[in-house]
Amino acid sequence: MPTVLGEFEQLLLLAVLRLRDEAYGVTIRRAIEDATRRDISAGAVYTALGRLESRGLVTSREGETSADRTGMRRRYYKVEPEGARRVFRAYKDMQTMARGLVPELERLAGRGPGRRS
Amino acid sequence: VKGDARPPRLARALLRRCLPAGAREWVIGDLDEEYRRYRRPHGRWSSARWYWSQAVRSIANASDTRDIMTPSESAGSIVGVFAGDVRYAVRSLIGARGYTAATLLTLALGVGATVAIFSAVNEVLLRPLPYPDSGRLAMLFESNDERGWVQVHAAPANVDDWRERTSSFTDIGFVNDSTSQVPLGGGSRPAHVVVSQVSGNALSILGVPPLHGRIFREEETYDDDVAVLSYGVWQRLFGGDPAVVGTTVRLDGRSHQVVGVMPREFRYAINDAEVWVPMSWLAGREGTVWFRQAHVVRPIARLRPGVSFEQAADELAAVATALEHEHADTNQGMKAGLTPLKTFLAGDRRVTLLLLLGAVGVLLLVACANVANLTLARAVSRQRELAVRAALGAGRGRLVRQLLTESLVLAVIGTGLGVALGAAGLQAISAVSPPELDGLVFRIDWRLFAFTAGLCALCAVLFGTWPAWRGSRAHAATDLNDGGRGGSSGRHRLLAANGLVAAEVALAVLLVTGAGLMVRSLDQLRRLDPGVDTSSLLTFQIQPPSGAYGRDADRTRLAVQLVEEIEALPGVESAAVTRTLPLTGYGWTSDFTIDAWEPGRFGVELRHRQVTPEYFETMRVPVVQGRMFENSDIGSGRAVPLVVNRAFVARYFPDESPVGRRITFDREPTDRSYWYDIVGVVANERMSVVDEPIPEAISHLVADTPGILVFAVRTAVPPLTLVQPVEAILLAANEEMPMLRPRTMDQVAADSRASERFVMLLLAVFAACALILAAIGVYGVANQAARSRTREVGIRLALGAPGTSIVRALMVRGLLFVGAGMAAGAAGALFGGRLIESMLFRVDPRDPLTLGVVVAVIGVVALGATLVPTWRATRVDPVSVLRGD
Repeated sequence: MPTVLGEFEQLLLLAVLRLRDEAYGVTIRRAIEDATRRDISAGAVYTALGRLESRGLVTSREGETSADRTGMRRRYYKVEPEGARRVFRAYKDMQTMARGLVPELERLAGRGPGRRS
Repeated sequence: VKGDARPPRLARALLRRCLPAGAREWVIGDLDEEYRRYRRPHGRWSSARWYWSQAVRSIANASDTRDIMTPSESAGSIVGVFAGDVRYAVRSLIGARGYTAATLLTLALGVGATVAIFSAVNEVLLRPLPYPDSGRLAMLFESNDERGWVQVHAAPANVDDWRERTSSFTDIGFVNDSTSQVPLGGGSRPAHVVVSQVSGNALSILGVPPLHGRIFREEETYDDDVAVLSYGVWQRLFGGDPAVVGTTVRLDGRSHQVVGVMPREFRYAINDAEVWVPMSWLAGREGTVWFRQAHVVRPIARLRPGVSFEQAADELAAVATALEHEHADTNQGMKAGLTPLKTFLAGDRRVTLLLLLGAVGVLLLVACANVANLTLARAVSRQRELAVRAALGAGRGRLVRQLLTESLVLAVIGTGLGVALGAAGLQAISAVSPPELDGLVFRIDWRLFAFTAGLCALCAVLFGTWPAWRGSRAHAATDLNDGGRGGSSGRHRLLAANGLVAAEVALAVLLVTGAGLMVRSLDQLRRLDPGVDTSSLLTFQIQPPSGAYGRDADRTRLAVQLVEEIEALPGVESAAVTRTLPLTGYGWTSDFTIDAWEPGRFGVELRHRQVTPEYFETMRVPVVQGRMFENSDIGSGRAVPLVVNRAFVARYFPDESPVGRRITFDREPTDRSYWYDIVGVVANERMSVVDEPIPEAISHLVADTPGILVFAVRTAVPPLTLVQPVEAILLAANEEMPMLRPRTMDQVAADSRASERFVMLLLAVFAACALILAAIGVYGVANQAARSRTREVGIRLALGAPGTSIVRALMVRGLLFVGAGMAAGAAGALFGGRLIESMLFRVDPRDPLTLGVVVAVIGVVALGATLVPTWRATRVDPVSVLRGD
């Protein structure tokens, strides 16, 4: 049985998918930061992507550089079918498990109707 | 992209170094790109912070955390493994907050203090002077045992003879080491500049070529119409225009041709002159007796290559002996010698700085002992952890590496803090340093910094990794079983720790005693009676421009006129003029004889002072016998009157009154000798900080040499409120005559203690540091000792022993070591006190009071530091302790 995707790995896969042809370090980090309000280091993004790549879930190619990048090239990522399957599977599992619990979760997490006025 | 929008360079370099090759390009590129977008809306600091945070976390993240404990198989680079170790070390250090804080504090104090003081020492004592081949530059001087002269100024005629009759030097020149502040006209605006007089060859001896034009020629020694400018004056007043060379400027009211400009870094070592002129005031006196009598110049020379200082000294001494015979009247007992210029310039500071260096060395030792101690203590508390890991298969190398990393992380952070502290300390030192240290630029010496940091790091590393060597498998079983007390390792370690603490306490006693002695000495200085009433006195100086006041009579008239005008100001009670204030240094001295003395009898080293008649009333110095001289005495045709002080009477007229006697300032009176009438005796003043007042002859101010006049104004209002009205009077008399150095006499007195206060302050800071460190050490060991016996305490409590008796039992051993340390420290202080004897004033270096107080204070601190953790250890619940087994 293949290893389970970590939460951060799921976020990464979704971000790469969402960004299509524009998925490289900066945009990926931004996408996750914007969506989750978490501060993520550039190093962590590449470490995790490297792990996903070694498991065949994503592939990457070297891209162009720009004046902004002082001659450093970009590295673009693309999600492989297996990666998409795995993240979809994780999402379905999550959805299944959460079914019917949303109101309860919202209440427990402090964002329920009770607080809304 | 704007040029300044580059990411922080150090952070970027770290990224380059530390990121694994596979991720380097992408990560750095991404961060650069984002930094540039971030930069504009968020500002420089915020973006820099962001970049740093990203860089640090990216480096930490670049290695997979799961690889840390299995480094050899890890796919990451060596750097990645190291990063993992660092992360683990940081985690473990954060977990041991007390240990980490204490160690960092110790390192910061030790490194900081050492760096600060050594930088000052290096600047003053070690760094070569900024002249070519400066090791061959020498300061020459004369000494006279008979008169108690040590390394004094030389007489110009003697210098001329040395120059002609010796072959050890390429050249001998001379300078006037005191400067004058004179008006300079002809620049972009009127200004005052600091002028120094030098002989024609004095600049060429230093070997620094001019930036523009030329320096003085030998034959210009007594000229009064040439000048060389410093770079600063040239820039400030002449806009850095090279065409100034050859033009004429007005200096002190006289025309001088600018012949050259010196380079930017050039300073004439001996003073802080901004403009150099030849020795014109000596002109026309060549060949007179005065020329061989007046010790007024500082000779400076350059040794010929291959000649040693000893050879030169021998040759100089031989010439001086010959001169003694040839000029018996002026040169009797006059010896000549020399010292490297560097040593001469360091002067008194040498002792001060070496003392401080010693003190800081002691502090560094205390710091090292403390680091060792803290680290050992922590090692023991981790013995079980290490044993468990060893038992589970961690190799010795792995454990050593782990502990080594922890020590290194601590050493790096602590050293960084130390440098920051040292830099701040240097700033503070420069701010409070006494006038003797003025003009010094304090710089951090990076070689020393490396040494100090290395020493501390070595300390941390040695003691930090020791437990890992011990923690090999052979010991694992015993260490696992060893619940604390009873194991041989524990006993040995406590012995070592207690020994270190004893050493720390001893060193702390030494330092605190030194500081205590300086405090006492300063107190003695403060109590020193200057002989004048220092309150409500305004003092200042003026430099009458020699163009307007060229003759003695002009200057004297000026002084009398200014006194009258100042006394007319509201709030002024009286005013007087002198050439030197009490507590500010020596004046001129000479031989003398009295008319009633048998032929051949004479006295030496009588000090001269000139004052206006109002002086004694203004300074509140009582006339104890006879009368004061008055303005009407001048030019009355009678012999000039003068007064002597009580010290003179005590030494030369113990049984009779000198009033009515006549005195002349020659050893053997001739027809040309000038006789004065002694008309009165005044109370003693202390002209410098000395134990006993010196015999003085005080005569009417005749301003017979140019140079500064010193004013003292007795006021009925706060003295400094009179600065403006008085300066208005000065400028009305001559617009080129501003008020110089306005101070109250109380400030003058305080400034005379500046050097002692400076040393006292620094020693006190070091002593406080040493005390804090020793207290940390004592506390740490007592804490360990108490904790390692928790089980025993529990059993005793369960058996019904009262808490106090347990505390006593636990404390005895530690306090024995502290006591031994204090005894050793006290013994050291008794023997070592002599080292600072020369810094002390009226305090015995073995002062029992100081030592007693120090021992008591340190005793109380040590007792407290032992009591607190021990007492806490007895607050245990016996049931839970016993159940814990």
